[in-house]
Amino acid sequence: MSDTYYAKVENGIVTTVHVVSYGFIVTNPERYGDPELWKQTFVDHPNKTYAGIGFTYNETTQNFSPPPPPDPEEE
Amino acid sequence: MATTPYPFVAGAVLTASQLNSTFNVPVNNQTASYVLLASDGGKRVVMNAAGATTITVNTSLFSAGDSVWIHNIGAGTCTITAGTATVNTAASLALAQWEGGQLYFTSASTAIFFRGAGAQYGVATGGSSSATITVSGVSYTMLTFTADANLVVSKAGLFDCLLVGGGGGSGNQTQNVNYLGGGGGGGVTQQTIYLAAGTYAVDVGAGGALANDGLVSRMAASAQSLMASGGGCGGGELGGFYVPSAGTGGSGGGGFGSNTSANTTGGVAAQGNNGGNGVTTGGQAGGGGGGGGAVGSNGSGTVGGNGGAGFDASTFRGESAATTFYAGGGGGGGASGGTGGSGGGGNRTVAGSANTGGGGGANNATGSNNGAAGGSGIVLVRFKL
Repeated sequence: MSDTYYAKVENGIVTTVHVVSYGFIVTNPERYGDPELWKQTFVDHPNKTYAGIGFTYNETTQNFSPPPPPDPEEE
Repeated sequence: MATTPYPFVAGAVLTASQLNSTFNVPVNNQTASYVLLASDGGKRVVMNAAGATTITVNTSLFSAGDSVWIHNIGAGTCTITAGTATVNTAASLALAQWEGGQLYFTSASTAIFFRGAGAQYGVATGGSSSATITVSGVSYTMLTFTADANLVVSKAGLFDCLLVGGGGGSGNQTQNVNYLGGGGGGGVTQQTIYLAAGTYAVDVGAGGALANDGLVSRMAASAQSLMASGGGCGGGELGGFYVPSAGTGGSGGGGFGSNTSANTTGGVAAQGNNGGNGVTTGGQAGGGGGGGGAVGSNGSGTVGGNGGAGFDASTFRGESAATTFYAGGGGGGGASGGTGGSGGGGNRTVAGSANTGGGGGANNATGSNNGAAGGSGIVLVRFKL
């Protein structure tokens, strides 16, 4: 079975990504906290963006996107 | 722990606790090289030092029939050294961690060292697979963790552990930029630790997304926590704006190139190597990510640097040398991208291989061509049968 990846999303932002099954997340709450915070992400899905720390999560599309570009005034 | 007033003197009255503790030989803890004293007779001298130490044995301190037990619980080798006395043995006087034995004196000037078996390996289950391997003629059980799980130790003892962090992602681009850095390989750490019976959490580090460092692999233990850092991401740009620095991690990500700047990044000490430089003039090629076994190559002209070679884990796995590598660096980007390092480092636009800690490969063309993510890490735990 291929590995599955889950990103922890807090206030819409990814805070970590784990190689883990959802079942293991559910059965180990002391380790992962609320299972509802964990959203699946895919390394090689053609229509999905693989999550990284700081990415935002869209509940509607169930997809991730990188942080917005920094303000040019601050470049 | 209760202690007994050893040596006993005439007329002493012992409590039950003190009597019970006579089965517990008194301990003399040391953290640096030590010269035995007459008061060590009948005791355990326990050395606990990170670096190499000695225990020196001199004459006229002990009598025939006296004994001193020596235990080394520190990471540094402890060597029993004949000072003015003679120390005979059929074994080595150099004690690795968890080894020990008994000094038995046959006279005031001569002792014999009877080396003990040392700490024994434990027994455990866990991970996605279990295999029997042979290393230098010795059989081991090797547990492989490719995802988060628990290590369940049913018998306390020693365990050899190899942890590889997730590989770093390559640099990211959103415009026609063609000189991204390759992702660094995940950090690699190998240690032998003592674990009591119990359950230990094992985390396998995920690979880093574009412009993201890889994630940490770790094994949590009550007294010790092993950790392998994630690989650093390659340099590039994010949201159309340059990210001026590649990431630092187990191995460093490759630097991106530009007309005005280039960078290389460092790996975590003893866990990885630096990434290669991007091209500074002309800005057409990024550096390769560092690998667990070698630095990443610099970009050159319009050709991205190759990723650094990974860490050769073959001996740990009971294989012939150069069979299995982990934490290869990802190839740097350019009109022609660099190749990934051995050990799962991603070639041009290809992600680092899963469960290798390989860094992500960067772009491989002009245009909107982009890099790829790092590969997830791996944790191996073995113990002697």
